[in-house]
Amino acid sequence: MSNLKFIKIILILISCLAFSLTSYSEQTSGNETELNGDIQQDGHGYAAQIMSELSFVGDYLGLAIDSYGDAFLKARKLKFETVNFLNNPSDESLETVRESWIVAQQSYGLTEVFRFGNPEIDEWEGRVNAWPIDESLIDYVDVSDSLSDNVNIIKNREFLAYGKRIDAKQITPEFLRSLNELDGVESNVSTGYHAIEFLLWGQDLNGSAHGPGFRRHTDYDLGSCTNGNCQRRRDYLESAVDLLLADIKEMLKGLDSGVINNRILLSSPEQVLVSAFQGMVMLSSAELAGERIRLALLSNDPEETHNCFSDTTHLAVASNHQAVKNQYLAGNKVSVAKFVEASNHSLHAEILQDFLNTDALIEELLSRATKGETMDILIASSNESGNQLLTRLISSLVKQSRSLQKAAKSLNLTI
Amino acid sequence: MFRQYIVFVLSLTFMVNAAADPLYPGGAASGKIVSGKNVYSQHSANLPIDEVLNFNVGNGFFRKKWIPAPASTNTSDGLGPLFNAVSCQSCHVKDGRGLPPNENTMDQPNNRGFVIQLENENQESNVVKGDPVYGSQFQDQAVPGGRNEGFVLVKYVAIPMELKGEESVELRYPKYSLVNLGFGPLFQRVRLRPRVAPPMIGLGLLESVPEDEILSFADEQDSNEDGISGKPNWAYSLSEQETKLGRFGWKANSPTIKDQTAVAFSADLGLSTSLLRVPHGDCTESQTDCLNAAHGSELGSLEISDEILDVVVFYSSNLAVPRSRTEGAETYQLGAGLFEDVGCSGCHRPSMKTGGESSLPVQYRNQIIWPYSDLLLHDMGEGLSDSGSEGIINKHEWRTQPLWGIGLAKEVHSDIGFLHDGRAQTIQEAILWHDGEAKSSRENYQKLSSNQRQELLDFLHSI
Repeated sequence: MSNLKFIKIILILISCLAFSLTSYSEQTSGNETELNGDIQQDGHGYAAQIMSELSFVGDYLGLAIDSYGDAFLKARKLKFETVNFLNNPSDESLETVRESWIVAQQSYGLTEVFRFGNPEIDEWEGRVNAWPIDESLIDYVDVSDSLSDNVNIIKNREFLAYGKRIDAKQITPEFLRSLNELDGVESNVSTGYHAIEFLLWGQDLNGSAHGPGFRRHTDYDLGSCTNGNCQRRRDYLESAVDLLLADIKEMLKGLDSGVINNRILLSSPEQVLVSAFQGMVMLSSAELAGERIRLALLSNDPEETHNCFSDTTHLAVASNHQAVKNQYLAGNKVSVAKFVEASNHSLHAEILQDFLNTDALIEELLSRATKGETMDILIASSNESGNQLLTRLISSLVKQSRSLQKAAKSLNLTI
Repeated sequence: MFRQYIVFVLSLTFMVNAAADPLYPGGAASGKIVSGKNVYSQHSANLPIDEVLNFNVGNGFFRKKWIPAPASTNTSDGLGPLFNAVSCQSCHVKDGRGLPPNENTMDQPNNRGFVIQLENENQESNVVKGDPVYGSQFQDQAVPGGRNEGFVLVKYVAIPMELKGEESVELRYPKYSLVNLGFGPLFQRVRLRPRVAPPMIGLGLLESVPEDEILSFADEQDSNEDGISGKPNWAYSLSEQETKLGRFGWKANSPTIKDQTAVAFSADLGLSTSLLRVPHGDCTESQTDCLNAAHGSELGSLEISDEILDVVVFYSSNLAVPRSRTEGAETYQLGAGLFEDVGCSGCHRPSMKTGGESSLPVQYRNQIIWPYSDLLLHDMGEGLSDSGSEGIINKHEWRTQPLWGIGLAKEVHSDIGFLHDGRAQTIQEAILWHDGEAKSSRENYQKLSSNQRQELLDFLHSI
């Protein structure tokens, strides 16, 4: 190993350590983009540049660890409230566990900027956040949605799926994992946030009218069980939450000391910068503007809204946009913003302005939602102003993605 | 790691002529991922980033489960009344092939990407006309309250084949029967055309190859006397409204991806588009309850709007062919040499070039691609032909199936089969079914030593 390489690795380790000792604030705003002074001001020219690039690698990893770490804590709270709810099913305890789900999923949304540019994470993602979901795989649905191939794991101790007989006597985390994407059908989602969302809220049968799914706490009450199979439904909910927790823990380990950690630490700062740009660009445009908003708008189908059971899609959208800003601004750490600002100040200003434009539209999205006009209502073909808001939001997200692409180009990065 | 190194070195070697590199079967559009069940689901690597948004939206519609009308969500309804599948993806499993039917009993439907088309043998032109009652396709499902057309039963008969140095291998020959018929007996002279859904990769590239380039491969009169003719299938294009060279489908019946998409929406899902405006799909006049059933096309609107059709076509055009996975230049050369010596390349033409017109999507322009197909029809002999009476013009003829990415087919789904009805469980079985114009090539394969056969199969798995 050459001396230079050795020094590089030591520097990376130091910067990681420094990062893990500090806590990261999720809610960063545009004016907190000052540089990590002690590194930048230490030296001049090449050495200083190398050092800040190296600490960027550590800070990228650090932000990932912090984001997944927070998602883990929030999922643990979800687990805690799930146990409380199952011990004492009531309207109140159901409401509390639903609240904890919302918080947990928002926290997960902040991690999604790491999916792109990190193939291991994107591969893993299907386990925890697969969507859209064919809920008839899991539990009862309205008769009008019933086609002959509904599986309904909770109801059936044994079922035939695509010609194969499946033994479902025991509902365990391992069993649920084995069913995810059953026989190559992507909407066969048996695990993750959206499976849990369905278990907590039930199917939203309001169409494009106000209101989320209407599941009663008695669906989980062994004493006065509604809709049958309450014990199996309880087993399913608990297993799905346990699995979610285990999956996030596995990701956290991989980032902290495992394969992903090694790969990122051994990557060049340029490579990591490319990953960061891929994350921001793809999450803004292809994922958020495309799959999460445009798909719902074009289909006018409430089932195509991301959080269709709980009608909290607006929160998921806000969280994903925040994730993009977090990646760009990175608190008071060595950020992507620093590189862009140094190479092209006006482009940096343009990106900040793009963020502000998106912020304003998301504000409107949130405020309409609190007045009852949630995403499933905004996308209705008859809701002209709702459609318009979403069209403007899509354009704004695409615009910020384009500015970020320009920024990557100005840094000679190919994303 | 070593493998990556080899690929890297090979890429360097090919840089002299970077445009013609069999390691990149889809040229610059080749996908980066080379293994796993999602390997057919990646977009063209050179797709402009802004367009990934459309790709993702198209993916959403491709996997969307359509529901019967009337439903609370009137924009997702309109399925049926008769249908074979509820989503595109349920047949094109993970964007790959449909699953061949298993030998089954009455409680095991065979509808994971397998259909039986019906062809009236009294036809004059090559426009498919089906059974007078059952239409052009046999739909084994109907919306709740409706009557389906019946049930498909399959039995396989074992057929032994010789291979040098081995005892013998068995092929399976499928026999289909349509039972529990919902609308009386089938028309006497109707031919059953069993079909599995084809894989979705590389379609936009194939659409971008100039017609002249494909026609230059044709040799209808076999004037070079190599026993291989190669015949273009001229078919009417619904989207272009003129007769054009057919490229897609097992018999090259569809000139464009848009044509094929509209046909699938109509026949497989019972959904109307601007190209096929009938909301009742494949219902015929004799199926009155089907014609009178609710549909999703209120006030004359289409069940699939043009915007949605376009985005599904965009998605279908942009699924990437994965990069090839050759272990090293030497292995590749050996296999490629055998592929040519045996005679495979006579029809499975290794490479061709896409057009350069500015009207073509930028990701497809001027690419040298390696589909291993001439996109033409060839006589493949009696064993593969659709069952029915003799004397039909094209019953032995099949479009040369592109081979790119074929080695990954079983990673995408382990139960897939090869050939038009999925009867071949391995690539070797598919080779052994070759007859007609491909008879001598197949015999050459049978005469190879087992080592050479393995080299050729390794090559096919890598491309």
